[in-house]
Amino acid sequence: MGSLSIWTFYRNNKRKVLPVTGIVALAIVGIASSGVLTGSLYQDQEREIAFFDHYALVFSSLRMGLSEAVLERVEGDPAVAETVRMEYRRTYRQGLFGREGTFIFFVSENDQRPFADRLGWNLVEGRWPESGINEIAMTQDFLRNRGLGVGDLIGQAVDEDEWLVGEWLMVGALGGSIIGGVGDLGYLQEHFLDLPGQTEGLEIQPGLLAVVAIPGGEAELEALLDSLSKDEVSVLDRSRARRNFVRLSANIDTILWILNAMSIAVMALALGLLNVIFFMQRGNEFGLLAAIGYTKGILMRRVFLETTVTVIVGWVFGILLSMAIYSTLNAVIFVPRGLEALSVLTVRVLVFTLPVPATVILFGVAVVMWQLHRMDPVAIIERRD
Amino acid sequence: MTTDTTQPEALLRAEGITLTYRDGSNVVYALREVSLDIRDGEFVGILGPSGSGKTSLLYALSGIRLPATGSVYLNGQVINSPGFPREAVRRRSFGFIFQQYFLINYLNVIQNIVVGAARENAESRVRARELAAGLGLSGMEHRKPYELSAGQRQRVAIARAVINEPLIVLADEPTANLDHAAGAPVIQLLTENRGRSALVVVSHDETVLEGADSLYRMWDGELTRVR
Repeated sequence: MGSLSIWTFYRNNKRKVLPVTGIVALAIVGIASSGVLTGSLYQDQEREIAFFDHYALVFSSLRMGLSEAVLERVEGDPAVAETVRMEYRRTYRQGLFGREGTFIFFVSENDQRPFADRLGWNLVEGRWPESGINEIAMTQDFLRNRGLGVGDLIGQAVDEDEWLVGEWLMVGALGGSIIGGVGDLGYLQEHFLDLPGQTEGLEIQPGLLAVVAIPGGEAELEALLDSLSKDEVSVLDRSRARRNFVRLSANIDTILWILNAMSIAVMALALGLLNVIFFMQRGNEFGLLAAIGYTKGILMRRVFLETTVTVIVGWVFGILLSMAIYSTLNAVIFVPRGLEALSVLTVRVLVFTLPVPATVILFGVAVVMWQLHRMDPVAIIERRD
Repeated sequence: MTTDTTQPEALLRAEGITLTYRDGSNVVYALREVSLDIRDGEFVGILGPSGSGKTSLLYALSGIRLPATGSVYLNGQVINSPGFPREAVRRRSFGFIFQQYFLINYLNVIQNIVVGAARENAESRVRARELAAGLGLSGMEHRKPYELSAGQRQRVAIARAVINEPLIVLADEPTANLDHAAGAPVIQLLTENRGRSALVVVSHDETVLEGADSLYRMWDGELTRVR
């Protein structure tokens, strides 16, 4: 290795270089964590939104059941290919930041299979819920998350912390990427009708209508849903769900970027000043080299490489450390508790962490370059300032 | 680049160089109309008290400082002209020994010597070892500067100055930080190890310059030949 190679410098200056590398690595772990954790939150949200790739939902605003007029108007519209009258209830699953809602869709026995097929749910274990019985089938991710299996009971009757009313027997485990489940509409309406207004005459009105547009009719369907009375119904479709998601993620990301930018600025400043201190400590070295004929270009390239390698190595260590931390957390906590395994190697984490080395290199190098540019080797050799 | 063909025998020639610097609002003359010829392999001694301009002359001769007036020629080429690759020529053609040894603290003896080479390669490392051995530094090759005595550090500085087999070695008070007993051998080592390089030594101590082929005296920025 060359006398003035970076390797020689590092090998002989471990006590100076390692703390800098360590600081960068720890900062990367912190910033990577913000990317990993919020990325996981968004991933969950994306999975929720995936439902709306298949159905738009029309809710009764007053929880009085959807009126016949609304049902007839939507079901009879030429832009509508398919509708499913249904109710929903929510249960929960453990998320990274607490409990998160999970939908159980209660549909008639005839609608059950087509509805599940459209969502990509297939029966992996057990059977589909039967008509007139308190049975549900849920997706495997949910069951794993809650530690439940086929044959278990779920509901407030067996667990007072449960969000789902009553007592339900888990009869099936479903495969598919959308988290949720299905149950029998008739049983729910018969035993857990919320409000008397939901009966119109003797007929029970469903509180929810899932709607599918004909191919190419998405815009017409959106226009139809927009035209429905806001007092009577509320609508959630793909564009609305995505808007909500984008609003949420934009707010969180703005806060995160502000925090990250502050961390990066502080770190760049601190490491830049550290670089200046190192440079001042090495004034004799640079002065000598300039005096005996090393050009300032060579010296600047050397400073650039030293700083760049230090910070890049710190970044790599930070990412490796984050991977080690999250692999351990995944193995010990998240996966055994049914939570999604967290991944460090994502575009989001790279986008969050790469500005750190970039800014630190820019600032740290710029400051020293300026010092080198102004350096007078004679002043150093003669110890004059 | 300008070529002067009138004095081909001079390896390094200074022609009427004046070097000034500012001290507040005053202009101070470090060198006044100094002229000097240095021939190939010649040992030139420059004697003078502190502040007389000896060190400034070395800076001007090597292109570290540019004279306000006059020219410096190396092998007939003006080295103080704009666009002349002064650093590259300095690194290739000059060897320096400063008053302070200016060794790089985290490098060992061999690495410090090699820093003076125009190009670091296996050959320069071999030469560095040979020089270290020749200068009595055998067994100390892996020591850092802070593990060496003042005399040993000065020997490393000498080896660094001559590793490149430069055309000229410029030594600024090379014995200033050594006692008299340690100083005399340094000059001897320097003259022995410079090969065919010309040697310019500035000192306030006349005994150091006893072996010089030509001797000059510097006083208040003016240079006069003694012998």
